[in-house]
Amino acid sequence: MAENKSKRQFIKQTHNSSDHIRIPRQPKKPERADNILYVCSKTNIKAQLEKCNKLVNNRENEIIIYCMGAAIQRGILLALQICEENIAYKLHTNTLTTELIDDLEPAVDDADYDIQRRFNSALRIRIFNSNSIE
Amino acid sequence: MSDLEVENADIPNFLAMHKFAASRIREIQVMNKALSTTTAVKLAFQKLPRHMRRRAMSHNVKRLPRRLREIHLNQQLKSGLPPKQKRPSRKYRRRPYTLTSEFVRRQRRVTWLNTHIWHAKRFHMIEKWGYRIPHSPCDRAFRACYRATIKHCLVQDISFCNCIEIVGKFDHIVDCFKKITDSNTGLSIAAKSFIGGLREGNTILFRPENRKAIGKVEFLWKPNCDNSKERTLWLWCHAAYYNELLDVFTKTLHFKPCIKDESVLIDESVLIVDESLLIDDGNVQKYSNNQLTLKVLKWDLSRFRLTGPLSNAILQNSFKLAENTSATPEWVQNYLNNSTSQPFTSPHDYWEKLKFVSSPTEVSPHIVLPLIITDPRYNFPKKRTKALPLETINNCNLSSRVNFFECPLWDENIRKVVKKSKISNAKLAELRQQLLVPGSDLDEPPVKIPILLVQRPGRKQMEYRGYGSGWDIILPSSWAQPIWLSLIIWGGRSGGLRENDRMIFESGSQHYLCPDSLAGEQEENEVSSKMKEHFFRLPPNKRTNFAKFKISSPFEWNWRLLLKEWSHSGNLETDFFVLRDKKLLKSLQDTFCKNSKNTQSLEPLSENCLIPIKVTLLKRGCCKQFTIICLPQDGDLSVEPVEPNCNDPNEKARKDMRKEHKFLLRRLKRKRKRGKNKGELIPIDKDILKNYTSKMRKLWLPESTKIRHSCSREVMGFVKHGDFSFLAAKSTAIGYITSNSLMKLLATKRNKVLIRNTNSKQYRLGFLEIICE
Repeated sequence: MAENKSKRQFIKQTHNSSDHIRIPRQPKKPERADNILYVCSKTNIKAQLEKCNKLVNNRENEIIIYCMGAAIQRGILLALQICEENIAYKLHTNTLTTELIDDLEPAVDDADYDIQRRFNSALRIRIFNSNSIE
Repeated sequence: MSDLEVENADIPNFLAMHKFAASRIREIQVMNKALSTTTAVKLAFQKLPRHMRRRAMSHNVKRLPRRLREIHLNQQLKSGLPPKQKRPSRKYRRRPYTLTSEFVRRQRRVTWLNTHIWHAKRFHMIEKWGYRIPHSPCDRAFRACYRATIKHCLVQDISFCNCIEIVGKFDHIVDCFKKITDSNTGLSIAAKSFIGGLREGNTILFRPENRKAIGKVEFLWKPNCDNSKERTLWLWCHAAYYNELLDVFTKTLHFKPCIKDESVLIDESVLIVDESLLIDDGNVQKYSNNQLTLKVLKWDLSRFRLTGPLSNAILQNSFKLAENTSATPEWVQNYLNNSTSQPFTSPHDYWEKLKFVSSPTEVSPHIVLPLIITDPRYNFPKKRTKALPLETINNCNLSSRVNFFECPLWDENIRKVVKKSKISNAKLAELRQQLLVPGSDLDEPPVKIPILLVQRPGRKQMEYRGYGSGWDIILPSSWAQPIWLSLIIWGGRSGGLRENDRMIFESGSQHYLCPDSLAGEQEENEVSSKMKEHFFRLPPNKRTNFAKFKISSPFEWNWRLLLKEWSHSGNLETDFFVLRDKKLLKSLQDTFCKNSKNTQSLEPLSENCLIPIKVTLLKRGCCKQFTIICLPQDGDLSVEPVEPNCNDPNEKARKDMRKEHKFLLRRLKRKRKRGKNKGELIPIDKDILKNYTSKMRKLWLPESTKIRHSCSREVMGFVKHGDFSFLAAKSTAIGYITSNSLMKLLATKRNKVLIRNTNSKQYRLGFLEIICE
């Protein structure tokens, strides 16, 4: 906990430093397809649930949900909800750590561009149709 | 002779045929002639036998047999109809030699982009800033273009941004730019992050004499590899203020035009049909003062803009990097050898690593990548294909330092070589024809092209971060057309100027043409005159009566008057400006965001400045151009107020005037008639008509004398661009408000404003943000 706090302080410090402005880069998306969802804390969970239901209705055998950091809870909720509604579907989860990069943009002439690395925990939830595997 | 006699007449036993015929020969001749020529009047084609007749023969000579054509033409001439000449076929008309001269003639007035012909077939073209610019695609792909910016890739030709090269000692360049830039607007040209040539920066230029803004320019330093004292800087300036900037350089910074140099003459023999679209007037514009030289690279370089997550994949697919083989030209070999021998990663290796990047936002911001690519026409896909990024689970290490080596594109001689080495499309088709297996790939292309890729990070604010990110390509303009085609064939969607404006609006930043600059003022005047023209084209009963809506300047952004009314002294003499001081804007933004109480800690703002703002509507409504931004009163936050009804003071005057005018017209008509009867011609007095229209127009749109107190709520400013934002899924508006009105709003400790469309009495509540980039 204490370690976590110090980390946070560090980020805040660099953010407030007058030489640089911290701009986080968008996290990398490892996969891209119709049946892959990225859950963030902004998108309406109902909309994403509907999207999943559509995929299920289209007999999609596999739905993959990625979620990271604060959105992990939302991702888990979404996955459980799908499984609850469709009994045939089962879950498989992987935890991973993703590297996040923050750009430190110079605010004064003497400073140069820099980066700052952070790590964040992420979740890859695979929802698959247990009946179709034969 | 009676019948009896005939019976008794003795008939000879034989008939001498020759005698018989000889005595009747005349008769036979007459009969023959009568048979061959008819007495009836007939046209040539009517004389033809039925089986040879064709439909519409009289109109089309070619349907007649050749022997009758002349007769037919003569008959046509006799009947007074001149024979119609058919328009030559399109194929005939577009034969290359006529085409080239025609294109050159048409470019005399306006400049064409290098991809003009491609665009002209698919886009609505408009004339602006001395260019013929694609405005919007003909297939009305408004949504599709927006979708391309967020999900796929939008490609735009922005070659109307011109490149200016400045060469000189580093200190001299920096000194020169100190006169025309402002240190408060952000990083200067001599910032540590830009000097190396690693990243592209942007800055706002001002006129040195009165600090009036010119516009935003992008700048790029040439990497200093051999540690020479001479440095080179490229400025990318938008066409709207390019002439103004050049004027500043020549007049106030004392750059004098150089005498034509023999070496820079452009070889005209290399012009092929595609390239000849450019009129090269034979020399590169060159200016110099004692310390610096300035060269206009308008005709040498082009710039394409790719926006959207797939832009990286499209570039990866369409560009194949040049390899170091013995067949490659010397300059390529030199470059490759030099760039790999350095301690850090070479640009080519770095580009290979970027293969697995799914979006350009993952790349370091504003980075410049010099690459040497092969002819993109050699790796066209067979069909138009959508390029997709490669997938990897493991993170690739993108943070390794890239070693920046001077790109050959900076060298004028290499640019010339590259221009000359281009093979025409026809030649390439011929090579393809000679392949043993049709449709198989050609060998390694011999031609190499140097290009520069510039990353754009897009929106930097917290919300929708990374919108509008992508790559810019700087390339030799002779290669613009093939490279453009390769981007399209790998799945890019092409956009025009409309998409540019839309992207600026969606990303919530202010337009590059600010109202305080000359170019911005011109643009504003153009828009308002266009709107007025449209307004007066409508019949009177379809025109909005703005007086009834209490809108005092419906088609004008009257910043000067508004600022004057808001100033405490009441008389504002000096010119206004848009607040660009980053620190001030940031502190203003912070006070709004945190709703903090310490408004006193803010630095006092100048009275005559406008502040760029963004308004997001809270509930319903959609704002348009010229919408007014008003200061809310107490109680407005709970119920959106409505402007009370009011009468138009000019209505009666208009009606009376119209009546009078009609009466006058009738009287004049009668007078003319009387004159005509008497035999004298009385001309129509056009001055009366002109006078009437101008007077009537003034009654419809009277010149505004007060704006601030024109309606029940105080007007703070105007909306410059308002629409429904697809990104925010809400109505948003971008506009400017006066500094004093902002102070008044801050004193109320609210961050909500009222906005009202010009054709509505309903005020709408909106959330105010200060734009600060």
